[in-house]
Amino acid sequence: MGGEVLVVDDDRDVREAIQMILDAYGMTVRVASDPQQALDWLAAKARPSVILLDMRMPEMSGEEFLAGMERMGLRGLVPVVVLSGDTTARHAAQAAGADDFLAKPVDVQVLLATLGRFVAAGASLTD
Amino acid sequence: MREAGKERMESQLEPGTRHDDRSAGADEQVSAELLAAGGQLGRATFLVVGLDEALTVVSYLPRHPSLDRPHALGRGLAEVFPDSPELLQAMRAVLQGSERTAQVTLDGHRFLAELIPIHEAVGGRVLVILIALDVLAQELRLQEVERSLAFAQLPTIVWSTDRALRITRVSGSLLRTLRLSRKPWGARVDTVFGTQTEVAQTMLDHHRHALHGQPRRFQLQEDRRTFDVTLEPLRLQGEVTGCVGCAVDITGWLAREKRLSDSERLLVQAQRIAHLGTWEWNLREDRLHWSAEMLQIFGVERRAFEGNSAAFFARIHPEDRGAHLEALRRALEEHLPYVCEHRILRGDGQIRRLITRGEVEREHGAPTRLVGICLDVTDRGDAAARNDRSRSLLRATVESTDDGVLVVDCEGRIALHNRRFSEMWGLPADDQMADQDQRVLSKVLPLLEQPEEFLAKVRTLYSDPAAESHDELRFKDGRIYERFSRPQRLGGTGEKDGEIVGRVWSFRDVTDRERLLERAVFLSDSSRLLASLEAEEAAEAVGRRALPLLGDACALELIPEDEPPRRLFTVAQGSEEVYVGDPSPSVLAGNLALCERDGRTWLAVPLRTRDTILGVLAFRARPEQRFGPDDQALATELAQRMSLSFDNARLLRRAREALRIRDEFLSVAAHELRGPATALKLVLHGLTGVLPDLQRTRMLALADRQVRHIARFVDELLDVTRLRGQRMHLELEEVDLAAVAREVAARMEEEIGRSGSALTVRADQPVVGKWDRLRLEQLVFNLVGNALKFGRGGPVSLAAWLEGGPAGSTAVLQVVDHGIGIAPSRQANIFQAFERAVSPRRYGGLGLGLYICRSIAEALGGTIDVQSEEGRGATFTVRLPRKEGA
Repeated sequence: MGGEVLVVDDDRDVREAIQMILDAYGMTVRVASDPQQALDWLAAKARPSVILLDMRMPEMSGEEFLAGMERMGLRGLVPVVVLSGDTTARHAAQAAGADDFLAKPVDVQVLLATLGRFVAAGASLTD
Repeated sequence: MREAGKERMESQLEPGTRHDDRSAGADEQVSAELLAAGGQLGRATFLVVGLDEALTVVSYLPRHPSLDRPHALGRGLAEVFPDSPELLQAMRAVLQGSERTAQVTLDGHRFLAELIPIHEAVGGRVLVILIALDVLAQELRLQEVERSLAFAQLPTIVWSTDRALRITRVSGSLLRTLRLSRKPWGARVDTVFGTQTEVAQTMLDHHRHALHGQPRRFQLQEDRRTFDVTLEPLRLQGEVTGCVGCAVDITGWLAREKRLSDSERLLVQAQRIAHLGTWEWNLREDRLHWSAEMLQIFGVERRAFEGNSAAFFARIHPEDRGAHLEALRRALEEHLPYVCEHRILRGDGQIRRLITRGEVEREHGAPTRLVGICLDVTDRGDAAARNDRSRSLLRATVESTDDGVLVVDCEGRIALHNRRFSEMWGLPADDQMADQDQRVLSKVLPLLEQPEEFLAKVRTLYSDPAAESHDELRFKDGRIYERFSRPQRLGGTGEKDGEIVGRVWSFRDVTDRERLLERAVFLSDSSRLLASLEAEEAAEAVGRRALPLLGDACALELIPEDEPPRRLFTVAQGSEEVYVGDPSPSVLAGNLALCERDGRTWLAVPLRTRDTILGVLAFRARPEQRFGPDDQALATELAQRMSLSFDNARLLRRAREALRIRDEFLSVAAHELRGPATALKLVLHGLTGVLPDLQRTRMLALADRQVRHIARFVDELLDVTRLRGQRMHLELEEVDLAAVAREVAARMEEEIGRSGSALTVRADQPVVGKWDRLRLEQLVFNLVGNALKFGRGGPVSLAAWLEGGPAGSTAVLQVVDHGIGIAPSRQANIFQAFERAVSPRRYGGLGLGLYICRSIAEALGGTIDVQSEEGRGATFTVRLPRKEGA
């Protein structure tokens, strides 16, 4: 499938499981256990095809991360898909600038399709 | 002279020609006039006939239709009155020179006749004037007529004149009345009659008309008497030779007529008012006539009344009939008054008591008729008793009312007052004081708040006797009276007011009612305010509303649960500074208290709920005010309502908080389960063959962790469900806490590793006690897990020891982290179920770990506490007694 996915989630097991599955489907996966780490990468010009973002994290919330992206002028450049255990967070995520929302526990096919859509769009943009 | 006159008259009175001169039309006219005149004179029916010595009719003046005889003139008396032999007999006697009376019957009418000879002064002839009175028409007054019309006193005067209207003959009883004491023969009529020119002239005019052949009839006023005067031309051989005149004094008659008609009118009225019926009983024909009122008394319709005496006697009460008949007999036979009191039986079954009274009329000594009255006296016997009863009823009524009643007559005298009146106005109980309303006023005025207004009202009402009023009087001492005033009227009906004879005042003490009302309205307003506003805002509004009812200043001190007391508000009527001071210990202990502050009296009441004092409500007395039991009750009631409002607000806050916590818990719980579910779902997908074998092992380990995570989660939930509201079940055994700490730390290696924190365990010495091993493990696991979770990767230490060395009785378990710490305000709450010191948006977990820790510690008779600063880590310390729980 190609493309690089940046997974931001404080739950190690979730991060690990996603990484293994996406790997298996040919995606390049980078993981960050907290959003600040992810923001640092972005600041260092890292440009993943899509970011898979958890919302509830101890040090910095998903909203704060999105706000940070906004400040860095990355909105629209790097699509963000929110993956949250809080199904009521959909609105907040969209308001904060997320491009799509997936509820935990997510179906693998849905996850792949959603990420694939953003990866393909990114590829066509860069082509 | 007399002889000459006689001769001339004789020649003039030639039979056969006399009446020819008079036309039939003139006769009819005369008849019509006389008829009308007869009507005017009512029952006085006269017949005046002039006769000459040969008893030939020379003048005929009938005043009765049946006596109209157009051909009487010139005929012999016997011919004109064939049925009156006694008349002829009497005439002869008259011609022999004596005046006399006779009873004559003409056409079935009985007349009393006066025969008056008139000697013709000139001709020497004798004319006889017959004046007859119809006694049948006068039947009703027969006796009166018999008495009053003795012919000597018959008030008539008869005269004749010649053509020059000089008196030729005059006769009758009126000579003296008309002051004709001298013999007026030869004098002209106008010089004889009348003391006034007018009368004389009238007489002259009428005589002149008579000379022209016109009979005259007129009334003449002379010396306050009224005369009915008739003038007839006197004819001899068809030629008018003079006049014959007749005057009757009808003054008495007219007066009687008037009196009669007046009295008849009065009688009818009186009958109606007095329930007086009149009756006439014709004995000869047994005809009984009843007046309308009689029929009314007997309850009989006119149509149904038989009209005879049997109809009357049949209605007399059987027991009274004997006495009644006896009274009637004595009246008829013994000439005693006919008076009898008796009962009657009416058709409708009513029994009435009557007085019947009558007079017997007799003819020649024989009773012919009874006339009389019946008076209904049924109700009369009770009148006096009824009066007494109504007086005593009035007295009893007036005395039994709680109103003060005063009745003043139109002259300002006090007609009636009750004891309550004296009491209400502080007047002496004896009646002497209250004899004049002015004296009462002087006692009353100083008591009132607005005496001028009071007086003005009294004056207004006295100047308008018909006015009614209702107002309120306020006393200086706070009493409130309602004052009613209305005129006292006598009689009157539904449609018409009776005469005003005084004024009734009544006073009602409504002080209590008004105060109650005022207070009830206040409480009701307060409740509304307390229900409609936020508790604190409402309390202040109510405090303002309570002034001046409860004092001139109000303050409320709130004693919140977790904060120091604060003054919510101080309000005052004036603008001056109000010193309230601190609540007294007595109030804080939950009692109502009166206290002095800055020289003023305060009433303080606690706002209390079932278990706590929420605050203190205080009122300052106005300078002249004293707090009575009413005020205390009202203040207490108000405080209760305020407490309720505050308590409700508190409960509402708590309920909202509980709801928020519940919602949050559910959201967190769902979140907590979705994490492992996500991981497990991915693992399962990976195991379907997508992943290489190497990764499968990792996946299975991952799945194992997540399943354990879920199991712990479920255990926590179950624990909490069990712990809420009941004691934890313990399996006590000898346990070494230090060993448990070490074992749990070892088991948590993986979690420790993933948290990034380093765990130091200091539990080298045995810490043995009688505890529940599994619960101790849970305790250690939760505390360490908590430290790792919030420790931000900093070092975490776990220690267990015995306080006071190996012989110490208290075991201590301590976990220290250097993480985010806990704000002081949250520290008290973190051991509560579902409480968390951090936002669930950042940290997962049910918020039950520390609650379970506390529950375990307490179940084992120990304690748990925390020392922490925000951002500087936390130290959790559990102290457990070594022996079995506390």
